[in-house]
Amino acid sequence: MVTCSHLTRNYAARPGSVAGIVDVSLEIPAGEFAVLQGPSGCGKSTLLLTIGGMLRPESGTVSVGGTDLYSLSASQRAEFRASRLGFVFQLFHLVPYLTVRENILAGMSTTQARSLASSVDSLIHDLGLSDRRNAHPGTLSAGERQRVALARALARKPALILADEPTGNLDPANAQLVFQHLDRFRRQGGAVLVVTHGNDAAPFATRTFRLESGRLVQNPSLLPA
Amino acid sequence: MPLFSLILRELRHHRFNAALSLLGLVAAVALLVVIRLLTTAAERETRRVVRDLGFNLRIIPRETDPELFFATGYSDKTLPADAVQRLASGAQTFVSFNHLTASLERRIPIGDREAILTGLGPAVVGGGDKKQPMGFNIAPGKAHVGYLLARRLGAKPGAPLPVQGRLLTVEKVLVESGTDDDIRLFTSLPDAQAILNLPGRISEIKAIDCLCLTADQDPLTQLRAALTQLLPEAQVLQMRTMADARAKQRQTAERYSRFAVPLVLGIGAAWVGILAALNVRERRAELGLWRALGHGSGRIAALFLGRAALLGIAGAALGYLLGNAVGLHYGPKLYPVTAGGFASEPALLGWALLVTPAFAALAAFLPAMIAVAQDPAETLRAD
Repeated sequence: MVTCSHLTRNYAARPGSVAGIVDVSLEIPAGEFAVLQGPSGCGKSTLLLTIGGMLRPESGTVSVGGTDLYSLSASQRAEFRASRLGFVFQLFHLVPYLTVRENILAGMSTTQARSLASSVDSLIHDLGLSDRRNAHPGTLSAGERQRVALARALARKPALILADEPTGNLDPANAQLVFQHLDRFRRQGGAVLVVTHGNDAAPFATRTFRLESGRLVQNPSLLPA
Repeated sequence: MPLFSLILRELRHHRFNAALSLLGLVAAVALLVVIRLLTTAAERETRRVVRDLGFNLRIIPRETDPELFFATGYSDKTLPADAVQRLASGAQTFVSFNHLTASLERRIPIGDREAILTGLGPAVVGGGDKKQPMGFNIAPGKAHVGYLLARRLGAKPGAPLPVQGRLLTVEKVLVESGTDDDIRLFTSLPDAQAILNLPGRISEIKAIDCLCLTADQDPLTQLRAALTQLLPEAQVLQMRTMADARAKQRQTAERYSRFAVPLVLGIGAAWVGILAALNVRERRAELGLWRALGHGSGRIAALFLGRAALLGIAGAALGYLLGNAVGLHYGPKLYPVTAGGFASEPALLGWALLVTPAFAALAAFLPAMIAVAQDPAETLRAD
């Protein structure tokens, strides 16, 4: 599903700090729940965004489902992201002026939104958002917001979901709920990469990576599913 | 979701920024509409005032002795009457003359003294000009009698007036002017030609020049050069003070427009541009998200340029209405002489609707490019 080869990317997240990655190679097959751990500022988000096609590496390649992401043009890569990848962020990143349902459908073409309408409605139901479907993000709790963000990632039926500290702002119950849904997605054949500096994703992980100072310091371990 | 709906939602959500942007555009359009209405009014008022002052160019036969002309007040020589048509047809090519009026003047005995008989041809405006003809046209057989002359002759409107064997009807007795008009008898040009037995002849063409150069710019040399080509049998005398006043007024109005219009446009563009930049800054996370969701640069740019254009359309319509209302309310107080001439200019609305969205989009172009160039990794990363 995802193959990264010798990825290197320097990244100054803040003046004076470097959160880059150095010669990172890893593989996440379909049906895997991979967890990327490491201390703050070690380059986890850089690796995730590089795999997500939003941060071009200085060297190395990223292949998702056999497509070399950075051999695509910017617009082709944008289309690829829209159709094959789902993102969940720590800060939810919902569009404040759209309702819950509109946020889930955000970025889809009208045709795509129409064809996915019924599956989106059942997703809203599954994630316990039925009575909040017309609410705006400003009126939602943190847990509800993250569920909306998760629904948005799942709605497109992506091949891979990239989650950057998805439970960082959630209470344990909501965090558990998010991981359960990601795990269900994994069991249906999708691949998941969760970036976290905690251990709350460990029970769901089928594979764990550890990053320190931009380097993978621990060999990927294959855990029982 | 269609781009248009997305922009509308965003405008409603960031309503403070949207309202301030709209305010800037409305103010800019309104100011430009007011400037336009007042500039037009100033020009109209100047024309009226100058018209009331009289003509500033006198075109007389070349062989006229200027000293004698100023001593008697008219030329004792004549030109063919078609000279006025030749001048009018060439006016656009050589130099702008407006409101050409041919006349034939002579002193004639009337009653127990002399009066100045003045036959006036119909006023001719410059080629393609939409201005109203100045002065008055007198129908054949009618006469307008100067104040002192009418008092001496006991002339009253409607009374017959025999003039050297030709019977005219007094149409109007003129109010006292304090000039030699008070001893003039105004008739139509054909009547004067018949009375003086000078068929097809005129003694002068009065005109207003639109050269709009002040005395130090030597307009007379240019006028004379133009006239030599058009009417070689004529010479031109310019009433300097009057022409200068007119030229200065027009130049002042043009300078004012040249200063005010770019100033308004500059301030408007800066205002809209700064607010668009603030909007981009405020929406950094949202832009990163759109990128993550697969929006390309074109769609991101369209979000901001479309927003600016939409505000531009609203700003144009509201600005036109406001500017029109202000101009029509206060304009007549500023220009009382031609207050009746104030009217809205619907064509301005068309221009505003066409230009303002483009202007707003141009002002928002740099912020839009900043949005396009924004690195989504900056705003979306957690570590």
